[in-house]
Amino acid sequence: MKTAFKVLLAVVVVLATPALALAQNYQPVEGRVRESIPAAPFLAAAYAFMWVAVVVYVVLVARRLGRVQSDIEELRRRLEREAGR
Amino acid sequence: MIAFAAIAAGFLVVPYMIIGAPIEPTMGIIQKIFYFHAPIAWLLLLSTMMCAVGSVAYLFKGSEGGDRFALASAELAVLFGVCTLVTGPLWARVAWGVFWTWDARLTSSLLLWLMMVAYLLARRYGGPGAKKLAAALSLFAAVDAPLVYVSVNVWRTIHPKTTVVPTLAPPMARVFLSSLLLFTVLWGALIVVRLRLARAHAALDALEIAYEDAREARS
Repeated sequence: MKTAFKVLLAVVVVLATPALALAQNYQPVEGRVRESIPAAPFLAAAYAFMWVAVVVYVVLVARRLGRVQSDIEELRRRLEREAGR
Repeated sequence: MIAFAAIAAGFLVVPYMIIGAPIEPTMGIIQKIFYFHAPIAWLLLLSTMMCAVGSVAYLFKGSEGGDRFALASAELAVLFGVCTLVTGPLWARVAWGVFWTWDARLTSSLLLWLMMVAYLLARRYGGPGAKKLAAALSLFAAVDAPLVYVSVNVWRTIHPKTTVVPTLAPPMARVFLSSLLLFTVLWGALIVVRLRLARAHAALDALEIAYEDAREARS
């Protein structure tokens, strides 16, 4: 039992040593540090997305309108034929 | 035609104004998203309120025109809601370091957009009585819309407050107000186009009924 405890303790020490060494790699810096994310691609992506969404919507509405108007013309022709019989 | 003209003007004028706008010292150039993010968020709120106005006209006066206006407004609310919910997180990623946070403004905006999506789904798949069900739903959305606006003042939030606009420096205010005007004109053009489609649908329905009546009368 004592041997097992000693082995366990040794394993913990062996594993903890590199962890402590890694933790000591975090060094404080003086002054204000900001994460540098390039803003221009985000700005361009936001602007492009907005206009693509609006243009897609306008195209979809225009296509639906075209279909409905052709259906209306077709029905008018059929109604005129019915009235002529 | 008006919609296409407004879109063309938007493509040409808005980028020119945004590029020329002063750079904000804290956030840098990402703050320029504000010049179109805030106007499209305004269009989300405007569309929601207009949908409720049309719905009230339909529910209490039986106005079919009101119902068509509500449907057109709801579609625009969903469209501009998507734009708001995409452009906002792109701004947030650079300014706050995260795309999304369950902030009062962001969460209430998402809920508003979901309500408008629910309106369209109810209209499409709700079966008989769906128009009234959707109209009632739009009234709940109309209650949420002012909450979205005041949320930044009422709750603790990291989103910019409503005081940002009145306190803008004149060169920034000019760009913002021009952009706001342009997007509002675009909204007007889109609603006209969408109403034209709704009227065409109504004409088609009337013609189908007339055609069926004519066939029955002949047989």
